[in-house]
Amino acid sequence: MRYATMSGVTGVLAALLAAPASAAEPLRIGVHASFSGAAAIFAQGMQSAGELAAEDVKSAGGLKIGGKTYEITLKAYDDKYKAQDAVTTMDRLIHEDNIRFVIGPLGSAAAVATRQKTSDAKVMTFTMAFSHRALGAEAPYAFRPVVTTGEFTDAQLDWVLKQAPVKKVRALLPNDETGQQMGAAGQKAYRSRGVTLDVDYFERERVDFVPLLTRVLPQADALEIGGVAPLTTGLIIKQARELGYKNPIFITGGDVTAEVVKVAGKQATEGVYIHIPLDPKRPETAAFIARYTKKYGHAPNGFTPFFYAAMQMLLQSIRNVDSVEDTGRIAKELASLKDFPTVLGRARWSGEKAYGINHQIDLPFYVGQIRNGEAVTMATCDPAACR
Amino acid sequence: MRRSALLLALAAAVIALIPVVAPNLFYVHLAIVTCLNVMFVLGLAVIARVGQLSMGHAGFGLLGGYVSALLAMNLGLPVPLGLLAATLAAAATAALLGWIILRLRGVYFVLVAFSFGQIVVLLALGMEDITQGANGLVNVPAPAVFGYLLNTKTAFYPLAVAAAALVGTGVWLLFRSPFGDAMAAIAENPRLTESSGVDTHVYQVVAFSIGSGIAGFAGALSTHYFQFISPDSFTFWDSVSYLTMLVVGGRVGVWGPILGAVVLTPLPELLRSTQGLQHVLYGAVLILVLLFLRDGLVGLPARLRGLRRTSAPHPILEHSPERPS
Repeated sequence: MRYATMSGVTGVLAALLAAPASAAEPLRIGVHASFSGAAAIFAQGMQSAGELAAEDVKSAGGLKIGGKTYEITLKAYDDKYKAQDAVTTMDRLIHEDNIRFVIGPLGSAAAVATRQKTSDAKVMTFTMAFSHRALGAEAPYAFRPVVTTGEFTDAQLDWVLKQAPVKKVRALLPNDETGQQMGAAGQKAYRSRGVTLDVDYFERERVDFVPLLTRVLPQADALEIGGVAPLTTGLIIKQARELGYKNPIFITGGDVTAEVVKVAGKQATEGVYIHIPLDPKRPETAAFIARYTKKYGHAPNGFTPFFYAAMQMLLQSIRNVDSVEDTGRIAKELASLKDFPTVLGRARWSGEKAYGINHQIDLPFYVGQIRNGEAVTMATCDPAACR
Repeated sequence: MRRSALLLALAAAVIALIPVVAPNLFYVHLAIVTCLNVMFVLGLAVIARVGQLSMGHAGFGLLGGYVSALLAMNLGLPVPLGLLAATLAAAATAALLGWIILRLRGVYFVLVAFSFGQIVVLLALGMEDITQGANGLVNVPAPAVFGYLLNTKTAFYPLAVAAAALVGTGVWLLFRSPFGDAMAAIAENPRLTESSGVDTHVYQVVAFSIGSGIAGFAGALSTHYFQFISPDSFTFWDSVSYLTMLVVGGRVGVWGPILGAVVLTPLPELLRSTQGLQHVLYGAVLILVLLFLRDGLVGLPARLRGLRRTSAPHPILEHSPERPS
């Protein structure tokens, strides 16, 4: 009896020991973003995109590459929206974590400061930086999966000025690389259409805009806000309306409607012209939003689906190349993907003319207005025009 | 003395072995950043030696960084000359500024120094034609020694260690000199020191210039290491970090600032993956140190010795008749 019990226990132990704990190997993807401060909402969205891509891979039984099965694990670090910290964070991802794929950097200064490092280490990055210097032929591993001012300014401006013919616009932009790039591009674009754009820069941490608005609003036919977190955009709109400002307001970049309405309220945001990066009525986009909302308990910000789409494209490139190591070939494969089905529709990469390399996501974008607290799409655009 | 020499030799051995034993280059990077912070905090310690608190310390780092980067990029000046120019520019600016503002003490000096740091950031943002504004300067040349380009972490590390050692030795010698004693006396009681024949204002200006010059040098070296500088490279929050390192390490002497930088530079890295929580945890660590180690970490051995003495039975009491056996 004792012998039988012993052999039974031994058999169970042997079976347990023989069973592999987990057959899948980790494919680590870094998230390099600003998890503290006003841009944290974007950082969380970037991380969520990675988490959902990891979930896809897991539910598909892993990523089968070169005879091995991989599961995605994320390593997320806060760069505190500082270039020096961004360098340290990227160093850690590259050298400590041996990561070859990074969602981020988020900010322009971070992207510019780390560009050489990621190029030297052949690490593929998917940045949200609006700076034109984030991409280039000398950065063959840097991709930008979001549509920036460089792509949408001209077409969007033509449409907005048709809806609200104004002569003097005042822009409130953050006093950093993102804001200065947007300011320079905006002034050029408005000037070519016979409209004056005056820009006021402010620190990202600012929450009281009343003095600034009191000074600038009497001189403005329209107010443009861009390059800042939704919280800040909402605060500016709220404070402007409280001061009695009734002229048009344009929000450039990002679909931030939900957060802006939450801060400023339906009444203050009624009629605000907005850039809408995605069409929520598209079935695959709607399915993504529903999935995201179910998992996280709130709707995604406008950039999250772009990062998820980039992950879809990256994973397909890895499968096509059949390697998780050879980032040179993976980057080339990724850049060559055309009409790839993503949650935002069929995507490809362009940008050769503007940046010297086809690493800029090429997707349609939309323009519209906030009506009754909702974003209403009024036209579909590409860099040439809105229709 | 023999114990100090042994500790120094041990520290030197550890420092020398870092590139060899470090599991990967990230640790070498951390060691370089620690060396840079050691210099910044030592600079602050020099200013603190005369009883002043500079909240514009990072501003001098930014000034030095831009001076050296622009000289190297626009005029092709060798990096060592750029470093020298950065040090002198920061020291001269501090001398000019200090001559005016060092008559202020306490909160007034703190506020003016803070304003200076903010003005430097705003100038760097506004003088776009020279500084490239918020875009910053990219591809700042790496230093070269005897034609050998120090553009990798392992190559740069010895330079960072040598620079930190040079600054540390200089500050140590300064603190041990009669000049250093006079500085300490000014911090203790400026009126009494002045009545002893010491021109306290001049001493304070000199200390402020030396400390800020060190910040300019460290800022320049940092810029050539990162090969990038932008207005947000050295901000008010960096000044707060240097001050925290000084207070946590210990304000008196050379070892406190060094210890503060050595402990607090890698600490945020341990907490970085905690994302938003890192600030809370960092703050908690600081509060604990400030609550229980008022002299800073450098005072920990003495405090432990004191505790041991308190808990050990007093030799006289041990044999006293009142003591119950």
